[in-house]
Amino acid sequence: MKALLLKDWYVLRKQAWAYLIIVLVWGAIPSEVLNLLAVVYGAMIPYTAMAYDQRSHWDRFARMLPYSDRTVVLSRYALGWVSLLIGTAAVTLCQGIVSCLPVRTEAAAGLSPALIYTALCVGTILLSINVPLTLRFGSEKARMVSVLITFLVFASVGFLKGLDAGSPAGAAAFPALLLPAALTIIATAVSIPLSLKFYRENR
Amino acid sequence: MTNAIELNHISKSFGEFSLKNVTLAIPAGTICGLVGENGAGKSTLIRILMGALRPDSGTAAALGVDVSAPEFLNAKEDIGVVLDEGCFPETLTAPQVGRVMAATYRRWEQDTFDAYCRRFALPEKTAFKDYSRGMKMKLTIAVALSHQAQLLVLDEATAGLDPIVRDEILELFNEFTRDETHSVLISSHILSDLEKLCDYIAFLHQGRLLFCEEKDALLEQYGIFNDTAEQAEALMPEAIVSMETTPYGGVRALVRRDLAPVGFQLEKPTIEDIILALVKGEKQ
Repeated sequence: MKALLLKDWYVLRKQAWAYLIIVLVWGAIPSEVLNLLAVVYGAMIPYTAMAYDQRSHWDRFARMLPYSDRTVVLSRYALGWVSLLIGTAAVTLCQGIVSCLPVRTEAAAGLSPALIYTALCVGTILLSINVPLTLRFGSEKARMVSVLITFLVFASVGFLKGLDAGSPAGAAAFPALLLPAALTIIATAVSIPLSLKFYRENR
Repeated sequence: MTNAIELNHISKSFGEFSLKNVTLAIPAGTICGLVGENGAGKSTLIRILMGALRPDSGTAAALGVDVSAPEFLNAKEDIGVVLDEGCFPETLTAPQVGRVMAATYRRWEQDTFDAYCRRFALPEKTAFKDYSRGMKMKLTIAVALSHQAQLLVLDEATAGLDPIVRDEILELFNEFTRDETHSVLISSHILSDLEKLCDYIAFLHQGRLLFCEEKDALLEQYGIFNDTAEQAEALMPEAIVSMETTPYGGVRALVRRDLAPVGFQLEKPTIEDIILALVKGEKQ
């Protein structure tokens, strides 16, 4: 796993800085859509890494190296989870700073912590959709998924805001927050075996 | 003697291509050259051997381990692979490849890898995509030789290299097999390289293995007839593998020595002569 993540880091290193800047800028702009996109964008990173792998034929070579199928598949998820956490941390930081500004307005209120958390869950669910599809159909065909992801993110802003507005505050909010977490766990639990199956079938 | 590689009745088809019932055994401590035209199935066979492709039928084993068994994951530690495409990610430099491989192989030897990089004069700061084809192959070979492999599987590893470097690389492969537990399977279009290097030659033609024989036995088995058509009439038809007329009015034929008349003058063929004649003979 370490070897594969190190390889991904070397491959994506140049884009990583661009990614971080984009996430910080989107995270600071007073736009819920962009804030949300900044969190969810991390779900796209494994797709990019897999596209690079296919272009250089590394994916074919990796099957001849001592990596287990499970290691290869889990490394895709690990990369996505790390990217999502970085995006979440960046947006949380930006929102924290923005909320401290004296000129803070209603428009600049941005995402609440609960909404950021929900966005992280949405991102993880999208990752769970993205990885098996890319392993099954290849990065070229799975490009359609990226369009779908963008559409879903934009379409879900109102829904997530509604959830956030309707949810109780404080300790009473805890049960409501369990739903996204439960969905995320289920999606991941289904996605990983499916990805493993597709990876093995592509042999 | 145990076999480094064993393929038993391997068949695989996709689209119009098919690999048909290939059975092949390569003894440990030997170098086997896999020969065949483009699309003959060499790369497919190598992918099956490395467990990267599942055959429709048949079994494959490398270093005594079935490639479909979970134990083959450990056996891969002992197999160095070089593919013709040079498959490292485009943006990686040689030191980065070394670090990734250090985290990949348990018995990775960084000093050996660094020594090969210096020997091959591989630039440290140049990305893999900016390497020439020869440099890409050298880096891949450096990796394959730096983790104490017992078996090297090389797919067109000398393609794109200039003759001097090719010779150097072939010598490296020769050195590698001085240890009698080390074996090499090398596919190549450059038949003169294989003739220089190999103990065994396997010839794959249109998905079928036409033969896998000891090189010396193969060279003993055939002879080149180069004379007039009248002289050729003394040969039994079964003795002639293929025959063609020369621009000077004579005939040139590949002949089976055991079926040629005693005392018949035959020239020593090269592997290239034999392979080309077999392909032409099949067409005739």
